[in-house]
Amino acid sequence: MTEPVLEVDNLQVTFPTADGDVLAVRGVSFDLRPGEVLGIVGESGSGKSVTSLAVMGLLPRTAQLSGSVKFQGDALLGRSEKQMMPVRGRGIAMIFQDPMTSLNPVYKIGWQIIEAIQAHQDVDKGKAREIAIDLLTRVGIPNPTERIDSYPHEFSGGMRQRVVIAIAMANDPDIILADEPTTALDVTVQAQVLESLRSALEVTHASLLLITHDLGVVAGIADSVIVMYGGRVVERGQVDDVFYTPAMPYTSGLLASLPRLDSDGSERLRPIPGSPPAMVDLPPGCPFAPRCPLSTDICHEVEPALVAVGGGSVEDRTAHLAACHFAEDVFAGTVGPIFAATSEDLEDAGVEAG
Amino acid sequence: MTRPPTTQSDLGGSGYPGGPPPRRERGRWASRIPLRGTKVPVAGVDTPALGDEHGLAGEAKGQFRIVAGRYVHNRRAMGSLIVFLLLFLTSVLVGWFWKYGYAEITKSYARATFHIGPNGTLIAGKSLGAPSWDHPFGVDPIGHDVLAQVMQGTKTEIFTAVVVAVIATLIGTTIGALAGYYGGWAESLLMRFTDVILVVPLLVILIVLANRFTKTASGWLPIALVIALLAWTYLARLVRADFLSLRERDFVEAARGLGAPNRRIIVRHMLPNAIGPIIVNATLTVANAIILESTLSFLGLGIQPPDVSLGQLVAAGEGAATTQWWLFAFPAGFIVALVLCVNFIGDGLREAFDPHAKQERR
Amino acid sequence: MTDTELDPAPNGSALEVPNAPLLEVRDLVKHFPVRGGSIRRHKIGDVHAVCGISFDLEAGRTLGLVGESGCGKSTTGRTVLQLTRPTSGSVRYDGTELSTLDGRELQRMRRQIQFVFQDPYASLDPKMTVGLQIREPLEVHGLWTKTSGPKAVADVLKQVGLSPSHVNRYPNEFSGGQRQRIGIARALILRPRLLVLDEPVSALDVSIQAGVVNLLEDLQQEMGLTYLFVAHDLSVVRHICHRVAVMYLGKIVEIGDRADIYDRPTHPYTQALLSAVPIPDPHKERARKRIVLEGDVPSPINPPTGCRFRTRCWKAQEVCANEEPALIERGQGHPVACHFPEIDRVVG
Repeated sequence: MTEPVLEVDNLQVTFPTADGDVLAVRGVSFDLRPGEVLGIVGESGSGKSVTSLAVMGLLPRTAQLSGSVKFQGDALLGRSEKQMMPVRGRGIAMIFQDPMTSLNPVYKIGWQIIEAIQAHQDVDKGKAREIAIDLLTRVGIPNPTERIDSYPHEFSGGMRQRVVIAIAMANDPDIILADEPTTALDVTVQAQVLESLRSALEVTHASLLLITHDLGVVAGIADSVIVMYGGRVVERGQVDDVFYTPAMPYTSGLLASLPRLDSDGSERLRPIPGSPPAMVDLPPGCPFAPRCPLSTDICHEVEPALVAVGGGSVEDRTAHLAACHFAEDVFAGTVGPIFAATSEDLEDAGVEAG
Repeated sequence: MTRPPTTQSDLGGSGYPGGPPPRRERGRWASRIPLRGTKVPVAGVDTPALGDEHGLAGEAKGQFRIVAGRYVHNRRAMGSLIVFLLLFLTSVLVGWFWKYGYAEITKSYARATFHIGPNGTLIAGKSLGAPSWDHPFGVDPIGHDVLAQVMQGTKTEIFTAVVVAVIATLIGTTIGALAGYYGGWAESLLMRFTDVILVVPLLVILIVLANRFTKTASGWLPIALVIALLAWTYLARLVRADFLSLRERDFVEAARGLGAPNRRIIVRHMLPNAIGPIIVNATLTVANAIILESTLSFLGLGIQPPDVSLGQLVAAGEGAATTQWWLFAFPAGFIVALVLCVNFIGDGLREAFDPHAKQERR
Repeated sequence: MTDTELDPAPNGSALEVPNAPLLEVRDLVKHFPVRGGSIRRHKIGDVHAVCGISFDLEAGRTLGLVGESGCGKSTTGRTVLQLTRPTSGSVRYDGTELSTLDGRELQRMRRQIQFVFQDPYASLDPKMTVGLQIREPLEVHGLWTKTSGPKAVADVLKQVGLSPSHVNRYPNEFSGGQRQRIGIARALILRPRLLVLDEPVSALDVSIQAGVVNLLEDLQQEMGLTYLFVAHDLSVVRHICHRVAVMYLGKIVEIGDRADIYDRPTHPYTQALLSAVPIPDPHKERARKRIVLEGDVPSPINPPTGCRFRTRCWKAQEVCANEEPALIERGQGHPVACHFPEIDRVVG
């Protein structure tokens, strides 16, 4: 079996603030194999973005980190800025929600791509320019021979994001880390950017760590998926397993609450009542318990560990894991639709609207 | 099934929800948490929203109490406020209870400086009126008790400055609000008028106006009015800018959408949201007014004798700065103290209204 | 488009034909001037935000206006409500022309038409308590009294699923979903008939969206509300809207019932739009036909001649540049603005 290109083990991130310690990430572990596409999904406050920033060493100095992050076997946590520089861009290419985070507004995009190419390959400027034009074509920028001399502000948001992907490709990274790359974009533009991302993966054979809240995007592009809630991984597995047979009520509830393009619109949606938890002074037990119809006393006392469902063991990296005391039942589907569809049921359950 | 905590606050898009947390002292590190929306991907800056303190507040509090709470925890600001109030209180009390009036010519000077010696000659006394137990701030060449004078001057200074600030704030806020809210030709007209006043060199105009006024009227009020009529321009610009941006906010559009008349929108929605910078600037106007009035008085154009102002005292004591230092040092010192206090109070207010404005606090 | 005749009954009162449109929009145009110049700041161009659109909205139903950034759907919503005045065209609410109403009459109309904003964090005044904001419509229209007012506020809060005990709290103490409910409460307290909603759930977390969508559906049932639902999220729109109008660069390119648009889309842009919306179903999503458009949306300052979509359309021919296709029935069962419409079921 090939060695994982990224290993995260029990990552914890805490931010001290005026109102107490914010436990943003509370023990996240996963790894990424070469060529694999891993989707990390979660909503506000789940800790997914902080996890990716921790991997890249982009958290403020006040953040307290523990655990380990290994890239190609070398530890990343605790490296200084100088030590992180060779990793960023070359080893792990980053794509953020705002493309202007990565693009320098005062240089033409051609210059920026060529700079990346020449840093990585020993070619002269002419050849580098050819390669740059080729990359721009691959990501779907029209008229690349002209647009290569344009400045970032002359592109639309979606185009800029594609330019960022082209630069990432030029760096030939081992991992592409995309943090909500299409969240701010229109849906047709999102389709374009995702196509470019697919091209990038084909060309570079890199792994993709995709952080998003959009389950549809994950369904389309990911091989495996991690669901985060309350700063922890609450479900993990191959994408088919998690989407078709979720084993954690949050995942199940999330999937059931989505209005779907392919439904006829007549069935009522099933919301998850309440709101995501405050990450300060978390009560004991499962962070999802206050919103979970299945919760019992044990759920409020003991935080469930990740267990394997459907046969398989926790060590098996492709196994389907879920952090729930009732994981096997949820997985088997014996509990029926977990979340109520009507507000009367909500009131009966004594939960306030979110 | 347990009831989830019923107060939930969210800190926006990809931020961290906060519930009612325990109240704690604001520490040094709190100000280093970066803001949402910063773009540079350098360590220490780029983090998704951890939210602002409002989101973490949790309790039902008015704006006034939140700001007051923050202000009270700021030691320098609180200290300055206390000192300022003490100065004011002292000046008033001294005026009532001190044994010497500010215009009173005391006998002690004459005795201290000259007396007839045994041969009938004039003998110079031990001191020329330096500070003593009888006269803690000394005596001036005519015989006035400097302590009484300085206290009266301080009182006058404070009254003048506060009146200036109040009038200037009223004028500036009204003009700025109307210009910012209505836009169009109203804004152009008002702003060009403001520009004209701004362009005119303040001190020169003040000198000219003061010259005319002080010949006819007396007391500190005319001077205060003259200064106020020229000091509102900065605030007008500030308020206009604030209103321009507030006008585009959704909740203002919402108010329009439900049919609220313009007056209501300005007074009930926009002003409370713009009040922070207005109050801060009003405070700083007090400091500026003190300096302006002192300057005018120093030039002999401000408050005329027998009314007393600190600037006047400084002018009178300027020549004797080296020999009779108490004539210069105390008035000047009080001017400095007042201005510093007011500036620190203003700073403290600014931080209390908008704690994110100052990121690096060493 | 439905017939709108009112049949006068023998005794003189008007008998409404069932489903007479509550809202009729005809040839609505909204241009925003682009100002340039250093001294005089004269107009140098126009942003053609909305360029002559027409649609009907029947009472008690929901019409979805969908499209991407810059298509003019938000501007349409605001212009219908007269938050900005139309450049030209007509907006008739219950027979009354809104665009020519003056201040006082318009204010009276506002009791019947209300707006729900997109951003729950910006649409509430941060310095006013929730209670004060919800009762403001009552105060503005002179309907607030010490006796009936507080009860009205409490009732509407309960209706949106919040506890009336929260009236003295400030907006920053609520979650996004709760704030949006407060915004809806504020819009409902005057008992309007028509609500224009501008992307009411897109700023909310996914698991919270469902709750607010359900609430909107329930309120429509309970109160007989009519919704003009402006959105870009086609999945949500399919759920809540009875009819859908697809907009592109200021024009409606296709309009029809929910089933028409989603099961039988005929305009190439609609098809591209539908194929781009991700479905959270791995097998389906990977097996789907993907239509990826070329290039960018053209600038609304200088839109293309003829059919505006032709610069990105794979079917474009010469006629598309010369002649703008009108939004009419072309044999597919619902109006479409395309010279070469063809039903292509993109959603599996």
